[in-house]
Amino acid sequence: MTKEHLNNEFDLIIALKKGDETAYSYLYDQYGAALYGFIIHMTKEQELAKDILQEVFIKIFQKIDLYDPQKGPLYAWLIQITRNTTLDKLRSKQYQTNRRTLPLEEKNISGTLENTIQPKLDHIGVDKVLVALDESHKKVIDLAYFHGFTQNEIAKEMGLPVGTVKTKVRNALIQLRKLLNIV
Amino acid sequence: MDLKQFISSGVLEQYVLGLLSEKEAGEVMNMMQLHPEVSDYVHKLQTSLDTYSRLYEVRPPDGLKDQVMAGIRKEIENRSDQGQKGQPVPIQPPLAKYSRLRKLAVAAAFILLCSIGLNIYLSNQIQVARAKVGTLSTQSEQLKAENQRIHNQLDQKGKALTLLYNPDIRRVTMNGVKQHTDAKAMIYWSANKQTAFLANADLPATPAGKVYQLWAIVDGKPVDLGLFTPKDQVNLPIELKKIQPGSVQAFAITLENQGGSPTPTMDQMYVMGSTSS
Repeated sequence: MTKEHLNNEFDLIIALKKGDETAYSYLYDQYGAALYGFIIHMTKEQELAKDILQEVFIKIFQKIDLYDPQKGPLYAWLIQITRNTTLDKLRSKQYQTNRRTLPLEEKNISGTLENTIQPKLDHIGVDKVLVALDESHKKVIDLAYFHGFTQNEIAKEMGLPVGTVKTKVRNALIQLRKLLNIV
Repeated sequence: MDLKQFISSGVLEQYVLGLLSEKEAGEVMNMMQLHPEVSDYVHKLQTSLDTYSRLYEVRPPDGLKDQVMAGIRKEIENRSDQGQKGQPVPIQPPLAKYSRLRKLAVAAAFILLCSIGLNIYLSNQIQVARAKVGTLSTQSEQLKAENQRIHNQLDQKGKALTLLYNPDIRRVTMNGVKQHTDAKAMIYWSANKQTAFLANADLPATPAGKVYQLWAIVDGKPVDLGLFTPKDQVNLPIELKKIQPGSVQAFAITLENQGGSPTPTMDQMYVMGSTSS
């Protein structure tokens, strides 16, 4: 991360905290696709994802004062808000009764949507990363990171002892970091 | 547990994936504050996950931004309404103790100084960034021009090659005449199609108001093929005027007044080449 990038992010955070409309427009341009992709990956549903993204931005506006840059980068915070908002939505009773199937089930992915949720950042070698990442590692990361599962839930979902899950979590991130070449 | 063990224990990976209890997460945050190695490691894990999630980027549908921004504007309005109506008038602090005021003044002065310092620093940063943008955009312009030039060159070379590969095309070398032995030029010529191209011209710079004129000698008479100045050099090969039917015996180049001449000025001939040689 360059120094200029940090300065930019610093300026952006100040403008966001001030409630500057253009800052939110910029935020959308910069992170909209990432957050939207994140929500799509969690929900697999476009209409729902659109609603959630709107809610996410309102929450960012309302909570930006609580964001402390010393505790981590802005993007991580945005992802946290996005994940929580999406999980709340998916768990809300209203939503559950409106749906016959659970949104997290793979069979719920519609054919058309499948095309749009393909990763698209070619330049860092998506294929390489996603193909090379062990299936069980990818699953551990996805369940925890995208779906907010606890270790017990992951253990249950994958049919593994909790101890094994802990080891897998560590190995998964080590492999991911290596594949993404983050040193 | 020493630091190395702590870092490799797996607890940091669980932390970034949000798998720790609040208490455990608090302990990790403590360790991060105490040990740069720990916070460094956590940030790398964080970056890995962020980069990973960016692999799943999806462009939001058109129009969604408008809806999002409408929501934000509403929030901004709400906030400014609240600011006008709801906020109580700030209560004046009691002026009981001068010492407190003095402390405040000192603090304010300190904050002001810090702010001035920060301003100077940030303004310098902006200057540096602007200068960089300037240099980069100049560089970009230069590269564009260079690219254009190479493109043109390639175009011309392509044309020349097409001519060379054409079996119908003959080469006629025009050598310098007595006074201009250094001059030389080359014509590609198709007798069937009555077309000719100036392929190469090694001629001295033209004096002001003068220009080179190309000629074909057809059935013993000079026929105008067009004008040429050395600055057209980059555009070679150039297609010349169509040659009228008849037997082409030679090609020649003379120096003429700007605009050309209806007949060649014979003592100003620079190069000439016969088609039979």
